[in-house]
Amino acid sequence: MQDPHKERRLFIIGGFIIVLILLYFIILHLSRLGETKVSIVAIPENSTVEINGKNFDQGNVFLKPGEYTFTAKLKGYEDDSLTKKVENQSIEVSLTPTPASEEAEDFLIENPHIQAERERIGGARAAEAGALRHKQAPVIELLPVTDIAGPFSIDYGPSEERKNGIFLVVSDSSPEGRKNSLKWLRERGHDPTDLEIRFVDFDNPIKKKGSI
Amino acid sequence: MQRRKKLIAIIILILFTGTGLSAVINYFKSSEEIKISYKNSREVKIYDTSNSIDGDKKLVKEVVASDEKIRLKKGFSYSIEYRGAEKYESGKISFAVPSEDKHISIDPPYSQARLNQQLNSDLETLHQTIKNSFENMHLYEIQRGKLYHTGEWYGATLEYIGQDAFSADTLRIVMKKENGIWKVKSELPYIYLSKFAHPDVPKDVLSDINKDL
Repeated sequence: MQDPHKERRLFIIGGFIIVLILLYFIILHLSRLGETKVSIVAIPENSTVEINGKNFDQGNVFLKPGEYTFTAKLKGYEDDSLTKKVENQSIEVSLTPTPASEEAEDFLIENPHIQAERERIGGARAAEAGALRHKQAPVIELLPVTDIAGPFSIDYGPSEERKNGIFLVVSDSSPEGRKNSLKWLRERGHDPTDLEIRFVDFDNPIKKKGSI
Repeated sequence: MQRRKKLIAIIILILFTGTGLSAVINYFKSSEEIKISYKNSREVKIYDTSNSIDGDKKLVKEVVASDEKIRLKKGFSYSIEYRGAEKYESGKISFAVPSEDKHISIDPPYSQARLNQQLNSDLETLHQTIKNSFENMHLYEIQRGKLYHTGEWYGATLEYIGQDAFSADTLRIVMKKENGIWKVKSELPYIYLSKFAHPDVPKDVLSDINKDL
């Protein structure tokens, strides 16, 4: 004899499971509100990964917007660290600890595909650093420049004090030329306040007390 | 038949619940909470300037009390306009949502008249402090300069009056009043003031001192 309530029970259980699954996704979605997906890859793959000093698994993590330091560590390798700003868009973080032992070097020689991946990541990071420099100081797209009438020349180089920063060098200039170099920058939409500028021809007559 | 009706009713209920929850999630995802703090100000109003043509803007809300939290739609641009209290400047702050900074603080500077009055009384002390801080100040004439914010920042230009044509650059200097004493904040007066060489000086102060370049 068939159980008349069997179908009803199955239906209730099925509905309950569907609701639980829905609730799970909704809670997961709500818990990630305001967080951004960060995809972390470290090569070699058995490297341990830390974010601001705490251990995390490689793969996707969800972080609130802010600045984080991502570090990959592996025995026989030098740690690789990268500080990145997490905003509202997903980002990828690739880390490549550098071999610091004979075993590590031998491992990479025996696994050329891993070394190739490390080199690919290194190239991508160098390109990203270059793009970041351009973003932080878009003026460098106009340089170098020489204005004979100015007179001044402006070139640029990487800043020693600021990571991914640049400094401008103003040379071949007179006092009027130095003033015109700043005017040239302003006319192209660049506030000198936002730039590190070195006037190599300017010998400041003012000295600190006690330094003469 | 009854069972089928119940099944349909439950499915519809689940769909409505899911839709409702999605709508709530979307509302929170499509807007952002911004905290507005203010002092020495009144009539603080938020305007939607996203579709402004010829200065036309739409009033969103008047901020009645400081530290009020307001939820604003993402993808829109806004401005907060305020009237300064007596002897404080009125002003406007523009921002867009989403915004990195979710806390907007309004702390208007003193009015120009009040700053000028204060400068008149501090001018001699300021110039003497500069002369006492550096060598070869006899080669320069210190211009009047300006006070900024609530009178705690001072910036001035130094015009060269010496004989060496290759050193005739106009230089700039910034100072700050700390515990009632004026202190020089520039390593040396220089052709321009960079935010990198003066990380503790507000950028608007530096930009204004540099503005005649």
